[in-house]
Amino acid sequence: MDGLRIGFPDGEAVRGVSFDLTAGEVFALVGESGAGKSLTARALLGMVPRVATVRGKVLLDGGPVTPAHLGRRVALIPQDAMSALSPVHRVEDQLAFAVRSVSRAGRREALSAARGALAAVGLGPDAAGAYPHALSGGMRQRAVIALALVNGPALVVADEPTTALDPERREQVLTLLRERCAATGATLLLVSHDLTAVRRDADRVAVMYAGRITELGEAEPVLERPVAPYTRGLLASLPRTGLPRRTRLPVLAGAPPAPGAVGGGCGFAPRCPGADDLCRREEPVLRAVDGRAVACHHPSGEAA
Amino acid sequence: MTPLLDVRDLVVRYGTRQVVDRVSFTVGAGEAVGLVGPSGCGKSTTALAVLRLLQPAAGTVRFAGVDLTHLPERELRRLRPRFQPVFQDPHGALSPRRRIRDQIAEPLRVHGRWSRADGPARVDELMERVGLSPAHGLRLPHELSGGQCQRVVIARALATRPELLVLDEPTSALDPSLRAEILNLLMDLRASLRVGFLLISHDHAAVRHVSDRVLTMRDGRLIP
Repeated sequence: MDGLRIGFPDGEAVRGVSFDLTAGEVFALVGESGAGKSLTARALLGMVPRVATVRGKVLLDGGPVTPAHLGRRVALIPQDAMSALSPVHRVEDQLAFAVRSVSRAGRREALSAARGALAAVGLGPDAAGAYPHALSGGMRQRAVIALALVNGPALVVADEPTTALDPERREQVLTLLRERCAATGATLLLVSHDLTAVRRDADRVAVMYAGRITELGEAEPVLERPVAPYTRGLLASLPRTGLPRRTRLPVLAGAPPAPGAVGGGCGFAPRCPGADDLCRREEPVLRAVDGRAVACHHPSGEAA
Repeated sequence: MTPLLDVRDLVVRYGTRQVVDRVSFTVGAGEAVGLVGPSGCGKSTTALAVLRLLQPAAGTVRFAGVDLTHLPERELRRLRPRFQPVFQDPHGALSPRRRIRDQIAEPLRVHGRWSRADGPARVDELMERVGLSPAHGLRLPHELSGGQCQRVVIARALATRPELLVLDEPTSALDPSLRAEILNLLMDLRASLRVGFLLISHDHAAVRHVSDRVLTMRDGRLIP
């Protein structure tokens, strides 16, 4: 992905995002609502709203992404499992249909592939033959994982796949997703605001703010020792053990800018405690700092 | 001293399924008690039974010494202003067609405490307390962010000066930095208003941070 920009009538929501995905890695896009992370992820699938204008390059295996890739080379796991499943077909039939839509497999062959894929995510014959409404939220999300992976895609985009689940099931589903992707060699792009999960499951992470990447690198250093002020603020606001109880949590003052409201300078400058004239004048570009890429004029740990 | 809320041997059944199984706990005046557990453990059902939005099969729920479980509707309505709910999805808890101000005023009207002389000032005060500007009051819910809507819901819950707020997943629908803002707001309100909390969430870290005591539920029971 190179220089992705996605514009809407009220302004640009994604303003120049570039990154490469390595085959087989787990790459996380994190940030608050409106940061542009879902749009960026969906641009990888060619799924952006019709009113949006997309500029920049998104290449998959060296070529542009086309609708024909969907469900074959790339697959989406949405937040709400119900929206990926048809309520009026049995789960196994939906997978079999997906198999037959990309191959010449016969009915029986496709059904057996479907059952195999469901078994691999821990759904036995009972669940496979059920309609989606009969399954729990966690089981449905497993079915969606099986559906996404059934045709062996090279890239799986999971857009907040577990936000609707409780923490224990969230961890199980993410672990399963990561394992299944590893088993099939698929690259996983995980869009999430659950920083705890990202810390546990991602190899690399890109933190987005106001349509741009502010910090990108290996998950552990970025989340343990963030250097961009936005990443630092975001992590500091998490309630966690070890923090004195019933004390105020540090919050980022103000709100993210609306699309189109970002001026010439750094998008985070109005909320940044360390912003100066340079930050308000010039938008920082990604550069290497302390083993990661950071878009900030004054990252911490760097002499002023 | 009588605790503000005293729940004893609470049992709730859906059909034949027992979802809350002999749950007992108290919340003292001005105390914040957290209730955590995985989905389906019965914590939200406990909240609904405490609010008497559903009828428990057995047990008592005493609020300020009065058992709510068998209280006639008329008397219950007289007590309701003193304990108020805050639910997870703020957009779902607000009418999409009414101005924010009017929705905050709603409990005052319902409970016959609205007067033209001092009602509007009370709404202004509530909005200020939760960090909303007067301009927000003239808008509709869809014109506010999720965090702002949750502030509206909290302001509305505080309108009748309750002694207890029952908060069911108040921050689960929010982004991390917004969540921190709402948690800070809850802690500020507790300090300034001395209102008690029953805070229900699957977010252990958030509940631990805000509460004096944390209770854990599993399969319908409190685990020690």
